Amino acid sequence: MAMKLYEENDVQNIANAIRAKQTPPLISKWLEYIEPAGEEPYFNTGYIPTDTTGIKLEVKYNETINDRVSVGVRENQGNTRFFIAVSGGYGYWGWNSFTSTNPGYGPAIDTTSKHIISMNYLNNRKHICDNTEYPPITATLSKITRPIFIFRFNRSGNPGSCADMKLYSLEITEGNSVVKKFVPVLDTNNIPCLYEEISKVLYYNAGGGSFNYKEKETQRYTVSQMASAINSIGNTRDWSEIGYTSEPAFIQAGIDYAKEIQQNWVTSTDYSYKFSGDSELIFMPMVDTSDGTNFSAMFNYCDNLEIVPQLNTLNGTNFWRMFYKCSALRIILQLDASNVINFSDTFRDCSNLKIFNGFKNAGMNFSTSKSADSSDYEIRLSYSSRLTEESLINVLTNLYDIATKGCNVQKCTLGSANIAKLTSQAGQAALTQAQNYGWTIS
Amino acid sequence: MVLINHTQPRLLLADEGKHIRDINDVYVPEHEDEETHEIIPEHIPYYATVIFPGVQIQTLEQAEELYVEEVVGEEN
Repeated sequence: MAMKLYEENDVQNIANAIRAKQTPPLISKWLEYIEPAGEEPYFNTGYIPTDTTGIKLEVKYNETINDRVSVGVRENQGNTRFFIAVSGGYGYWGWNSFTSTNPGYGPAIDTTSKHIISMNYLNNRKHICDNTEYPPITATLSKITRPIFIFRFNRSGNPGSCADMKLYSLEITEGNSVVKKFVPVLDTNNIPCLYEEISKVLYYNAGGGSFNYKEKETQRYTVSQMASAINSIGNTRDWSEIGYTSEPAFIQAGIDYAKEIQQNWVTSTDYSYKFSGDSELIFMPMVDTSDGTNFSAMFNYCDNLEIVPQLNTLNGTNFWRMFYKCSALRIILQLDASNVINFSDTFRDCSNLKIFNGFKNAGMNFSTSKSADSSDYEIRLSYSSRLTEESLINVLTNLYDIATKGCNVQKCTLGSANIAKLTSQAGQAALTQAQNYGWTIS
Repeated sequence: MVLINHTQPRLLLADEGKHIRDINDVYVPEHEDEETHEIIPEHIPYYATVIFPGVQIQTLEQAEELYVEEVVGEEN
């Protein structure tokens, strides 16, 4: 049976899709990149550019010698064009005519590194490649009536030569909004295609041939885990089957409250006790926490909190009691712990936690002078005996190699019920790796 | 307490009828934090009959510096 996998903010995205009575797209795997096998394949975005349209792509070129358009459209034989291209080892842009109003040959483009190239992204009237700005856009884009193609140029309705490149992502903006965000995926028939994250639609090869691809190394969520999560929210059910006239009010109230949080969110460095004791919080919304350093007790005693999406904790140093007594909590995506120096009681009394993607780089910021088995450094999940084996493996494999760093041995306490789940080869390998990285697992 | 180094993962096993705890992991009763006045719940030591020691622990002597063994039912 094909296994569908989801990641990062899809907990919320899929929940939203189900609430809207839509079917989530049939994605089986997330891809690092997609690249054409041969000269024929391309994608039709269906999007017709205007004077306020922008575009940004993350790309690595396999060759740059020919005059190949990565993404774009030309209205006719004249100078009505909108594109990003490479030729002769250089990148260039087309905004109307590339011979008059664009900067001409711009950045040197190699075939060894990834490049981020944009044109009028969020209507900034700029040409940018890898953070370097080139002469700005000064003209108004002439009227175009045809859609943008990817990998091949839409030349008056006919696809041009195929650009030999690895595409990692592509965004189309209109004014100051992102209107299309494409990422490469495999569908459930293992056909490589582009997933448009905003409309949640898969885009398929509009030409001949096929695409090669590379899978992402981390595929995070199985469909059964996601279905369980969504079912726990409740909206997939026909409530009348169990005698309800409508969806229970608390679910809608939880969503409304999450919206309120999201709309009023103010970034900070200190999120300590931010939601402490907040019983209204059921679904934590996606918010920007990238400036946060102190996450201690952030969700302390949030006893109705069920799902926490991806939080940016890269700068976090303190996870003390971050989810203390979150007894309803079931799902937490990965938490970046690259800078954390206090893990004490992060998940204490989180008895329903089932899915956790681990602490990324846990221990990377540990001091080499700290004594062995420090309570501040202890990662303790023994209170969460419902964690899946996959979650436990995620925890173990995300531990940083503190032994090589020169730290004393530190503890990762999973508890006997969780340890007993690590029976697979992957589980045993994860245990061994964690040991070799300087962690005592119990 | 027995340290087994030839398996993967390596094991530290408690003797029969005993279990192991971190030497510093001791019972702390519920109390109020003097600064925040928050109630700190009681802390019960974590015991295990098998643990997987980190690579820094290669000898039983090293293990005994960090862990103690107690008879099950006779915890402090």
